[in-house]
Amino acid sequence: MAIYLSFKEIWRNRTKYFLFSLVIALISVLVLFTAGLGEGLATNNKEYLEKLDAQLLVFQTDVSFSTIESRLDYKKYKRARRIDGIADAGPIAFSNVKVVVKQDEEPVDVSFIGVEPDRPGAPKAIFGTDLRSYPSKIALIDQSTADLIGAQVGDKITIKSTQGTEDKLYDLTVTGIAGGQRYFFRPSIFVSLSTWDKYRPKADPDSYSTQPVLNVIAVKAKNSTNLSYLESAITNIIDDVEVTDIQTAYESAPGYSEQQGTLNTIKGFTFLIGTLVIGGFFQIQILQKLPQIGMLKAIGAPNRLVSATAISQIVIVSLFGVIIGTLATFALAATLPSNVPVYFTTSSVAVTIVTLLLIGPAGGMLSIRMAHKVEPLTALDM
Amino acid sequence: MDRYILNTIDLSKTYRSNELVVHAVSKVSLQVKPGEFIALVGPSGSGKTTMLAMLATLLESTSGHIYIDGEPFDDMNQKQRAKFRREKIGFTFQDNNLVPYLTAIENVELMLRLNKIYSTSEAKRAKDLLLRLGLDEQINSLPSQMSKGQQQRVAIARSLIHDPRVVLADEPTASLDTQRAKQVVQIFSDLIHEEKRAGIMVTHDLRMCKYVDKVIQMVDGSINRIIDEPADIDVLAGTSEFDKLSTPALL
Ligand SMILES: Nc1ncnc2c1ncn2[C@@H]1O[C@H](COP(=O)(O)OP(=O)(O)OP(=O)(O)O)[C@@H](O)[C@H]1O
Ligand SMILES: [Mg+2]
Repeated sequence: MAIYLSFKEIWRNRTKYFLFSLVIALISVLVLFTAGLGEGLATNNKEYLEKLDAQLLVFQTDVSFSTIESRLDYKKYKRARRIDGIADAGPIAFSNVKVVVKQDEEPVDVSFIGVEPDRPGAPKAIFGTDLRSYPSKIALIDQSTADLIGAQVGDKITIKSTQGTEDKLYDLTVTGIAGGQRYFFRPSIFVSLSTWDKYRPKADPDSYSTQPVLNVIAVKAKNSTNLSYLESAITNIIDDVEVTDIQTAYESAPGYSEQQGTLNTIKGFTFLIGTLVIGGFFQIQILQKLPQIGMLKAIGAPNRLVSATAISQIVIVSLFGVIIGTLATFALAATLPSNVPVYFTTSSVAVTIVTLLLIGPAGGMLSIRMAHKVEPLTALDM
Repeated sequence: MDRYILNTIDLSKTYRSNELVVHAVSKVSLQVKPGEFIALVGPSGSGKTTMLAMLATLLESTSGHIYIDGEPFDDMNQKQRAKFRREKIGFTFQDNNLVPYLTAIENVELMLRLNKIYSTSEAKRAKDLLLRLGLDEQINSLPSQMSKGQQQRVAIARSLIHDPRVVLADEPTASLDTQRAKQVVQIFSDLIHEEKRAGIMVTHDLRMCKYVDKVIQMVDGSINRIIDEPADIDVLAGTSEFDKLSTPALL
């Protein structure tokens, strides 16, 4: 009965309700895009770390888990590998180089990451082969680098790196391509540690080693259920190190939490605005309908029916708006260039949609209360 | 069974706001037999609407009793009152009678749906009733597409379709021209007589009284006079007696 009444009313005032659904749709687009942007930016930031085949990261002490500030002696990595409870450990060294995209075009910044083949930190190839130690001039690139420069397995890529005061160009052969492994907003190129130390930008071009200073050590535990025990074991055995889980590590990246916080604030405010807009709209609807509601009650419509009609109307209109908004968001996202960091994960979209569907009734609460309180006597103009 | 459908005993309603006390209805006892159609007349403020509101359980009385078919209804909660209204009462208001987003037929069927007795045969009855009220063309019209008079006729159909015991109407013809008003009251009267319901209509227009069985005049919240032969009213027309019965409005 409530559904009957709300459908009849929406249908006979379809232009008005359709336009309002579009407002809800726009709010949905805004919220979904903000969520997608948050997800996209976060992914760009953390993708490499998140996909590591490891549970813990070892840092130098007192650098607030900053991967670029942390410096670890190669010996510390060797020692780490012998600690009881560690299944495997891998050294990771970060740097930045430019990669030549096309002749006569500005080279693009990429993360240049030194790892040890077949150890935690070295990504698995989805095309070609995993990284090997020999020959030296080979690289595993991630999918975003491959997309950027249009490189395939077997192609040569040219990186540009500053050695002392000079810009040098080096050629590397792509032997494999990994999935998305962006790190710190940049596409990534993976090489062995010795290649890394040789080609990374540095002040003294002649000082490089096969056992260079690292940034962090990725640790894969034998038993991932008791990590705190392993954490303290590592800090006890190795001097001047701090250990953390992967999530804390990428959340500690400079700007990460500020960025996510800003986007969450925007999202929160959009939800709030949505609640107020929907609440306001339905309140005006109810205000216009007070005599009619009084009449319905006077001819014996139970209060429950009046409230249920009001609620179902809000739900129908919000649902319609959110569906249009979601479809519009995906249609729009499909037209975006791939380097725009807007990603949609099923869970974040689901959470957003459910929240959007809840703000309707939340915003409409007041109007439902108003409908509930109308006296049937108003039908008699008394 | 009681010989009256509707019976009130010393029914009173007193409004109190701050110092002000208004005896809107005081000690009214009136009886309506099955198939009896009564007109409630009287000057503005004499308590006619207040009377109807109490009979329809829209307003609680201050004292006195109301019996419908011999059953008192004193202690009903909000939910029971709503149920009572949709089952036992048919009400036509002065205006704002119809749900604006439902067509004429849907507005009448609304009463069936509220009572959960909607069926194709009942819907057929609703349609027949509208036809009888001369609304052939308006069956599927929205209220906004109908004249005031057509809307009132739809409201009258709605007040009768669910077979109520008591039919109440507060100035149902106020917005109609005399010719239209007479037709509507005539049909209304027929439908009350045929089905042996109890009907009470508040009106300011004494010319409507020749279709009722009894005219009750209220003054200052009490019954002032009962005219058992409303046909006589026409005889009174133009006299000062007539003017006293009625109000300045419309005449
Ligand atoms: N809610 C209220 N509070 C206080 N007094 C009221 C209230 N409703 C009605 N009254 C008073 O009760 C008296 C009877 O009012 P009522 O509306 O029943 O008269 P009526 O006969 O229907 O008049 P009219 O012909 O103008 O419709 C009036 O004096 C009115 O001012
Ligand atoms: Mg009145």
